[in-house]
Amino acid sequence: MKDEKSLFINIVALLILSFMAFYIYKVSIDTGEGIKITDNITPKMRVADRFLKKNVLDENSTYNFSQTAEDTSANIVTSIVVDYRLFDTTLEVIVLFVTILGFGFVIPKDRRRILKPSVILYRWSPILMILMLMIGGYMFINGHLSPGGGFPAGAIISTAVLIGVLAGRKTVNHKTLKVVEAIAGISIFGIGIASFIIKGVFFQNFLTGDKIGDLFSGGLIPVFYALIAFKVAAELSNIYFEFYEEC
Amino acid sequence: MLLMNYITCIILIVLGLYTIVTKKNLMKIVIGMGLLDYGINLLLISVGFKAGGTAPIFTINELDKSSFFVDPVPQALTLTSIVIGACVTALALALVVMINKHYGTLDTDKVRRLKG
Repeated sequence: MKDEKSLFINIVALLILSFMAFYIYKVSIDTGEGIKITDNITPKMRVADRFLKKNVLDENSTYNFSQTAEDTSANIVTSIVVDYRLFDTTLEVIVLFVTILGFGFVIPKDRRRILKPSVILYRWSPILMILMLMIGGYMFINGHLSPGGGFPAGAIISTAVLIGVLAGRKTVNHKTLKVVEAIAGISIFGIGIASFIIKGVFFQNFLTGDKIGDLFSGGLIPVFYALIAFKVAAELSNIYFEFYEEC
Repeated sequence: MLLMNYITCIILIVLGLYTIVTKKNLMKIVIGMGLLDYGINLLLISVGFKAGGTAPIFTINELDKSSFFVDPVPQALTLTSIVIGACVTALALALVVMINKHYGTLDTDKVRRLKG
């Protein structure tokens, strides 16, 4: 299967790329409805303007624009997972890491015979991988605005790696995964120590002054979710390499 | 509608416990652990649900005067529970693979003997 650069693959890739370019262009010139990246100073241009007229838990009060960092995430579940209970989440990621460690010790390291992939899986795997990586990136970037977040995004990205492994294509190196996992894990605790130096409390959110509902809002919440997504993706991909690697 | 949730999660938990206690195949025991896990997740979600509530997200839909949120704390805890359940299943499957390589069987009655 040498003809990777066939005409069909190129045409499909160009179609997907043109669709992505059109979507980005449409989002960037949209006013009011979509997520506005550049201009969030004018109140008419903000996404969150029409959602924050009132507090939904109390009929009489109005929800004003918040200036503190702790309640600037539009998704309240994300606020709880990555802000109020961040200790819980980081220790949960460590539990996942210890599980993968024990998995690598327990699984027998004998030679396995890998079946030859079918032509359909071999040809369609790059397209599926592109779509899955797009959805995974969208999920952890928009984790503080919409359902989703770091853990499902990590699962989706690692599934893209799994499809590449099953199709017999070269995806990522085994050592790269460990480097990514280590950098993400160290960064989470590095940001925690930095917030201890700046604010005096471990894991406190120290980026303030953004508007709820924007793409860049929530302070440290998107940063933590992106780090968690990379760590979970690297850890779950390690499982598939442990199973399918020829050693 | 909420009663249906409780009945379903009780059925799932009881089926999981029954599978763990009575079955002899190790793969079936792992499947029973998964069923128990899903039942507990469904129970946690159902405890925090109020009839007519929307998802606790400010930007997902238009919120009018009569709308309210469901409780977001059990959903966050369920996210933790799902990840721990996946960890437990992966480690248990690795142990099952190791037992099958060592003893050549998955029957729990036949893996009792010590085998150097």
